[in-house]
Amino acid sequence: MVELYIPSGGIFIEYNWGMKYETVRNVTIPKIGFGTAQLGGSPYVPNRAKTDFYLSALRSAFELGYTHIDTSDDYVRGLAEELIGRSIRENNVQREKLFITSKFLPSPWGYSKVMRSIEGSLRRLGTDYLDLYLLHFPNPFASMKETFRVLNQLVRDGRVRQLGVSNFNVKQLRNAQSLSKTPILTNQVPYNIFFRSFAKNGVLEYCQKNDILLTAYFPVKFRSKSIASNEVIRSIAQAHKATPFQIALAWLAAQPRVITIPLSFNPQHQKENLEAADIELTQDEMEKLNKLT
Amino acid sequence: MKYETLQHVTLPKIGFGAWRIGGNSSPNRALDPKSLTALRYALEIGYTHIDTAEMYADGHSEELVGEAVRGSGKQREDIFITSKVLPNHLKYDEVLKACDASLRRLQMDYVDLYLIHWPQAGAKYEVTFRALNKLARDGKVKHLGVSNFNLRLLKQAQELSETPILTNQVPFSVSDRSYVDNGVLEYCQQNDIIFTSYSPVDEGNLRSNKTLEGIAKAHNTTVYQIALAWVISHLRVITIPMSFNPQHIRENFDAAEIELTKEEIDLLARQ
Repeated sequence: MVELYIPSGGIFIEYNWGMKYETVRNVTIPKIGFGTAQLGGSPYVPNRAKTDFYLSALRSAFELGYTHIDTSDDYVRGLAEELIGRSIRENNVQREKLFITSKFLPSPWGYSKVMRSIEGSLRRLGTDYLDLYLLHFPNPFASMKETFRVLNQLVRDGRVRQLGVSNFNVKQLRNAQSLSKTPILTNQVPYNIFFRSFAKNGVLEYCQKNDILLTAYFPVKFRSKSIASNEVIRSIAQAHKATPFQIALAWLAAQPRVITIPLSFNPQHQKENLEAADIELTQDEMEKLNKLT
Repeated sequence: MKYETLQHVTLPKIGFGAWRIGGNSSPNRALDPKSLTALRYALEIGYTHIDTAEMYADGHSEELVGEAVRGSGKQREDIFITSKVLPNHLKYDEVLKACDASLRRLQMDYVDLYLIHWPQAGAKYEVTFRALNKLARDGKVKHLGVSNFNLRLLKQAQELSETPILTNQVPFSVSDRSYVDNGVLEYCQQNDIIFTSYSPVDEGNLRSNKTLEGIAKAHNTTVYQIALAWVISHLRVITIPMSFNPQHIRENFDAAEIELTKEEIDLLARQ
């Protein structure tokens, strides 16, 4: 049992998992969180007939010890947030043990739109604060100044504890940093062993040098064949008695300032994903994996 | 989303047009962040059909489409990619070369649909289709189609193609009915050819009017969404609007859910 103190919120969080963490700016987040992009159906089509299936997937995630839940106001048109809120209530999950991230799309209608987004998210999640609130995409048509005016207000009001961004390049990230009154905690971007655009464009290095978490989404690309069938990954997996997907996740988790949020509805995969952070890759193995593209 | 299904192919009524992605006639790399944001956002919210061309930004559109799809978490087979060969590449070797170049820029093994971008006076289509048929046989292209073809040329393409012509991509919107007037829409509907409407809102210059505004108000949508809903209310018609603005990308996608009444469709048809 590990006890962690998060000064920003003044809350004790207990973890009973041998999980690894990233701590930046006095905030501690597990290396492996739980993504919910398709929780409730396909991206934009809710499948309410399968509600029980999704609720049981969430329940097993909580039971396994996932504490960082990543969602967005537009995942499955809000149904993902709704299911998370319902699962927290039904399973009596203590809110303060969770780290909940949600997102919104910056719009040209600044103030009122952000207010509507956050109120919707809080209502669906059944909580009065978010641990982390992200700008989902850079929107060249929205005023960042106006957007951050509202976000800074939300932080002052305690409805949001930390701010971050998603899909931002270095220039956009710097701009966000200059406008945010609290440090930008993370930039959430697509990043996996076979997709390294955000390493190539300098975002990863910038995050590492400036104490910003890089949250990797699509870390195993929905268990893609390219990972499952790659010889290098397979042989390393064999050496660790792990699956190729666990190696792909361990590769991410081994990098400083990188955390990730794989999505799975299958309890066995959820467990494997969580345990992947414990795999210690050797330097030699890391180098072999780094060479893959 | 609503779909059109024929010839064992299912295409969403609303796809994403990748013209202007990457630049206009030549690559504009300063635009890349905007271009990639638009593509990533489109893929994130569920667009599955992306329409590009070797012409768009002189190939850079294809490069960015490939980049966005690779980073999207989607499997290649979940996305339907259309590209097009330029009319000055219609000789046998040129077609094969152009397709290989498109695949290289997309970093893909195949495109789902390959179109002749527009007709060329004096082109020997029997030669062009010999090359296109080879591409289809080799699996580099899953389906063949044409763009900006009138009825006579469309029929000629059908005769020359070994696989059924999947689509004719033409301008069609509330204010541009030229391909209704020339009989192409009706022919496509009667012959199981998908009619892909480009510029469905006249490149954002859609002229609003009382009818559009009234219907938009009744559905609590924008006039652009009504214009799109009207376009796809037609049998066999799909469309590929483009926007850099995430808000509009989303509104365009959502327009597929709007159910216009028969009266509203007729009202708009009379505009």
